[in-house]
Amino acid sequence: MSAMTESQRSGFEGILPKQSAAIYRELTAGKVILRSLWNVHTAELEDNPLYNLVFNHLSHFTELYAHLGYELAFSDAGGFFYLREVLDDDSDEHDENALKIQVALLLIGRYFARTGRDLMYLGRADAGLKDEDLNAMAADDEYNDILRTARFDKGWGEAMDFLVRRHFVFRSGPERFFLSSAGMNFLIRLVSAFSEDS
Amino acid sequence: MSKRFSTIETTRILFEHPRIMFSLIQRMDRASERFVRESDLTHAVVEYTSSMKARERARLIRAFSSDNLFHSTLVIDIDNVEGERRLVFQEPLIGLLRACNASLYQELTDARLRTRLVGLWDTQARLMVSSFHRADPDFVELIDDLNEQVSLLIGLLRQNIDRMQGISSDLAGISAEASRSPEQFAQFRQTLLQQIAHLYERHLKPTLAFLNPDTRLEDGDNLLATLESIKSLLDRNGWEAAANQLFRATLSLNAMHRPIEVVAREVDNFLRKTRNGMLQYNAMAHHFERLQSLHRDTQTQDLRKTRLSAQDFVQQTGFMRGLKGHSRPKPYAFGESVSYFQVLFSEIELRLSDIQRASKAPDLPQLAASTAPALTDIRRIEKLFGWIDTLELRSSPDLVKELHGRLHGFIEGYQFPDLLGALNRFSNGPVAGGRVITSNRFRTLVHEDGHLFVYRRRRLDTGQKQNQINGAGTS
Repeated sequence: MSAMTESQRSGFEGILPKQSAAIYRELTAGKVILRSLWNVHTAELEDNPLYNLVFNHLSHFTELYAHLGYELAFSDAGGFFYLREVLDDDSDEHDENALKIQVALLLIGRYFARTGRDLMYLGRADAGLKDEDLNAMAADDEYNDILRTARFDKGWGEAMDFLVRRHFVFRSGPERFFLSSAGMNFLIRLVSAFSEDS
Repeated sequence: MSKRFSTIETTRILFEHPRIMFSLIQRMDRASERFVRESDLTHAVVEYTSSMKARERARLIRAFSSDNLFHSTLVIDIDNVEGERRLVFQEPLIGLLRACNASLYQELTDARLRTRLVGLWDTQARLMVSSFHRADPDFVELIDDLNEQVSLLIGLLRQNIDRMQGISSDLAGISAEASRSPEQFAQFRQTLLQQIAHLYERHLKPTLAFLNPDTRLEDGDNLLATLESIKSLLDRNGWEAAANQLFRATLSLNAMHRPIEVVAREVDNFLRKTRNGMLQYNAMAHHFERLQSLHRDTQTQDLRKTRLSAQDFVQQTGFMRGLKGHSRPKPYAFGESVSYFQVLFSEIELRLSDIQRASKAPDLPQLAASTAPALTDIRRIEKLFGWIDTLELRSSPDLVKELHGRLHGFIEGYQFPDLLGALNRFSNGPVAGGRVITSNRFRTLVHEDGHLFVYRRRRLDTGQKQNQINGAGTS
């Protein structure tokens, strides 16, 4: 394979409109573009072609979305891209999505740690959250109330749907979930923030 | 001499500044005493008020003076021992303060539980030889006493379960240091195990054993068996209501077994952790506490605050800040319901009746800003009012929009200011068969030339609504 020229990296050449449109649809729906996605049919993680495309034409996409008024953000540790709205900092409104994600993931992480399991198992398809975990979380009044104040008015069902839709959590069965690399990235950040903060 | 506050006022002040009493209760518990030294009280008040304004400070010092507390009966006794004055507060007051602060609960010890059980045994023995007669004051008092004992016991256990459920932050606190520095881990683990074992042995296990229906005691029945025998005693003597009440109490005591078991399991899980696992556990507990404090802000008196405020929490980790929201397309609302068609048809009817009398529609003179404005305005508005007063309107959640739709493009020379005049007419004068309610919700109306008008939503309620529904029912 020959190395890409500069114009190929930053221009529109070498990118199929169909694929670029698919990326646009994902990003503008507030989803993250992950390095690997869960395939429900084969039940395994697969490389995400859209991720590779964005990665290989990073300067093109960065520029493209900058022109559209967004910032294309990349998380190295988590291996995912997402779109950030460039707005003034003091608007509380647009961080609501970030809050919802953080709150739901933190509650999951806290519940999991309290059951004595290593958080790493949350990110593994063969472990993760089972139906009894979901039932136990749904039975906790405090969790439910916190979810409600974070605008998940319908409780855990809505929260899990929200996380799944945005690719922070994969659904590996009817009542089984596990965290994607993006979801795990948040919990890992929380742990390292805590261990440094002393 | 000095001014005193009434009991209710003193209590109010006490609860407005609960930190003073919290610290005193903590001190009392640490020293396992049942009184507060006057010097401690004075010291706590002076320290607490040191940064306050002089007036407020004087008010607090007066309220917390032993003299005032005693006369408002919050302090029931002042004891002079070896030159220091000891204040004994009312137990209900202390209990209420403990209820406001989970960390002030006294852990339930084996000894405390046994005292309760012995009390129940005593009641049981007295019931055995009792008359079970409604007119016997001894018996009535005994039943009262029994009820009080049982509710006290339930209250005590409930408080402690609440306290135990906060155990994860306790465990995190105990192990915080060790999990952060790997070198000290091994050494720290030893003391950690001791502390947790103490918690488990002295508090969790006795409570569990106390509530276990299969426990055997040397000197008498266990709790549930005692309650059961008192219940059947009451039952046999025709006191069903009291027996039922006791039965319900037994049920709730039985249900307490579960949450304590959950806590016991968590302690067990914790003991088996590695350093990394402990770090994760503590990190989660730490961040969850942050979330809890944010959540507490939504539980204040401020009714408007029902949601978590995103900014502070999100910024701390910065994860996914400013993530783009999912913008949903606004659907153009076509409906299939009966009410949708009713609204549609009534709107068409009204528009048709407008068109039928289109010939009578006024032609408003052009607005001229400078030339004889006053006179033109009056003439305009009179013409407009003449039209509006004959308009037939239906109930509408948004009168402004409705009115704009009816006037715009229909009345020649209609301008936005005319809408304002029309609304004034409705807001100040009576509307035929209806009333206008102005809400605090704001809406916007966009004009063709790009001007944006912001208005408060006005709702129109007319009596017609009822007729329409009735009419639809019969046709």
